[in-house]
Amino acid sequence: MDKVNFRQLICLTFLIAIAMKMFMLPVLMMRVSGRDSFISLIIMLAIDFVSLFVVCVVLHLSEDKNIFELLSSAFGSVAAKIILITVGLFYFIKLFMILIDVRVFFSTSVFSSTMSPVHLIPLVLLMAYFAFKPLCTAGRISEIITPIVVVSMLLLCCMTLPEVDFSYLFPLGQEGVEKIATSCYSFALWFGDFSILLAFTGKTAKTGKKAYFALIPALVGFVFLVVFSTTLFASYGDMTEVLTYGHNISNMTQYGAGSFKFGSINTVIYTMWLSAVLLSAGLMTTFMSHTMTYVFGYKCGKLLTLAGLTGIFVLSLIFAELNRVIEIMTACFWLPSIIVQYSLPIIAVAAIAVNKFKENKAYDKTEQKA
Amino acid sequence: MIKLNRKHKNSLLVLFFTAMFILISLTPLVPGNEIETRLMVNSVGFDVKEDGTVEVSAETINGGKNEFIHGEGRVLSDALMNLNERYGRKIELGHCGLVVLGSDITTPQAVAVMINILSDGMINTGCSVVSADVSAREFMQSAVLLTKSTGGGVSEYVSYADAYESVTIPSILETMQSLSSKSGAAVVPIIGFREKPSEDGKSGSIGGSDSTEQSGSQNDSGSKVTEINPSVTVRVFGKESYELEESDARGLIWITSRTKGGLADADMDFDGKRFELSSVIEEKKQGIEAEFADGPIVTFSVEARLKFTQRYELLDKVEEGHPIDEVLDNVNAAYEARITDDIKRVAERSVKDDFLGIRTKLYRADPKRYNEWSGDLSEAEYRFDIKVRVV
Repeated sequence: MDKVNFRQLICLTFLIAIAMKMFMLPVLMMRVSGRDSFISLIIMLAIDFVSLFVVCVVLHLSEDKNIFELLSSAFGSVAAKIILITVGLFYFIKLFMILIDVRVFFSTSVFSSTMSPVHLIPLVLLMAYFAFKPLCTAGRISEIITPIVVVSMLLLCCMTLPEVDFSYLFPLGQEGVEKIATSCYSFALWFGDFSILLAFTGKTAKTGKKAYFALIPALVGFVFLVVFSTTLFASYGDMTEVLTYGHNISNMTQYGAGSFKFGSINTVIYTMWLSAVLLSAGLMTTFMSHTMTYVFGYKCGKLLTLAGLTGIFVLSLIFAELNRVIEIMTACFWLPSIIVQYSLPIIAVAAIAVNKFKENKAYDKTEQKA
Repeated sequence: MIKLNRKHKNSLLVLFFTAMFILISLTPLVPGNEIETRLMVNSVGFDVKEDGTVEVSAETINGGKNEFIHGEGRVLSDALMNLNERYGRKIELGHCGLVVLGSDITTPQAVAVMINILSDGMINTGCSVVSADVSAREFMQSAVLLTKSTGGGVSEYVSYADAYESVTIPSILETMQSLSSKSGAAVVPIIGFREKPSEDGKSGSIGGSDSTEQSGSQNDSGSKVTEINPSVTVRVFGKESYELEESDARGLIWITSRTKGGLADADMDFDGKRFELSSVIEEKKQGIEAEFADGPIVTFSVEARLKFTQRYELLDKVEEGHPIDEVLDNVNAAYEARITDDIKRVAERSVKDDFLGIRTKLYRADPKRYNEWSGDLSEAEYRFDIKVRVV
């Protein structure tokens, strides 16, 4: 049976909460709104939290119907396919963004003189593996890696936080509302990840109202994320011109650890955190694969997924100028990101409402006939 | 065709991924791995000559031996490239623990150097920054020679002073934070060498509060020991770069959070006699609060616990009939007066270049009032909340 249990849902929520936002996002936000990125980050995480609540409502009320059945029974199969193709294409772009983020991190922090696209091959192969696996695979893997990720984050906290002067974060609000707003919507592609959890609609075993407990691990993940991002905001708040793609949250651990004394143990610990990204990418691939399968059939769907992954890898080779890629992503894809990621849970809730309405109407008709 | 069942397929897949990750992790063992092709640097020094030439001097630890290396160029990147070419390897600053700024380097030059190495992610943000009392090249040459015999690096000896003495050594990130803030100034300790007479001509041993006698070497005459000397004097990088004398810089020991220990001296007049007090700082809490009232008000607070090292000197007074509490109260008061004086002195020197970060604190407290204010620190009212307990 392709189902995840409650514990796996909790682990998945935690990992998705932190996954994509740990690489370049804090640096990118700082280059737009300086230390006020703290405000932008809080706003976007609050919106994500509301989005997760809506997803929990869907998981609770959907009973045994998966997302495809929900949409098709509510709006018809054509509309459902259009929605799902749009979602599938969007995640194709988001997966490309994940690859770019990972590539930037490894090529600047770890393998600075080795050809960086080579290091994406294992990730792409892993994503292809997920494409052929049921959703419960992701659930089981999340159970295994969540404790490792939590331990690594706690270790990083201990190594970094005692030495950080958070007073450099203040005063807030000096950059102006416009920059804060720009910083919010420009990076929408990096948020809205909880819509992936809709892949588990109808596939959570005996969860019911317990689905709302998923809000707690999300909050915990957000707290970790905000704390680590804030160390970066506070440390570089007055000198954002120093920030380049070589800087990310992992550099902050050197602030406290003093790597010349202990060696770059922060990189080893940070790598454990990276496993959350692997799972998030795998989950997106699975969702994309399932949507393609639903729309085009099993064989065609899988082939399209593999073709898409190959295309993503080739694109990451072609687009060597990472600055340009990120500029395009922030300039052009913020609107589709907002529309797809935040409207999908709402559409799913609407589908549940429509289905309920239809059921009630059908029941009333039956009652009348009787 | 052999058909594999699900269990075998999964096993093959696991084997495949395991093999791949093992292959990737074994890359350090293949010939020409990255560490062997790098100049691993323990400490690095920067000078800028009058004609603008940048000099980079470093201590490298390749092959287990400390060596001095040097490069120069028109700009910093040229100097680093020159160094790479001279020694046939690419310099690696990722494990560098110490940045030494030459005595003649100006504030804009120091900022340019530090921003360059920080922004390229070359250097550890927790790396210490000091200023030499000579050129960075001379300092690194002598320091590498001095520390060679003991096998430790220059940065280890300097970090000893940071951990155990009363020398405030900031990190490169803290230095740049101070220089980039509203205050626009930073202080770094001055490290130099001093010659100390040796009784038997042997190397110095660990001890002392004003010097780090961890390594020494005989000079030509054989009767003196040269040692690395981190002192309380500091160099201010503000509108100009200049030295702050020990008497003016002493207050920094009390109001800087990085200093954890060291010796504290004071003079006490008690019952017609003058006592020279000496204690060890056991615990210290400090803070600088800034706010706007009618004008800017700055409050320096210090709470310190000192371990008194001369109890025997005051026992006479106790034996004469003075209660021990009265004696200790006088000792506490003497220290409080001394600390207040020290802080007052450094605050007065900070009016010109705000190396205490007061403008930054005022800006954080009230950005609106700050923007309306003239920025003149001589208008500020200083208050002191000093509490000392001698045990």
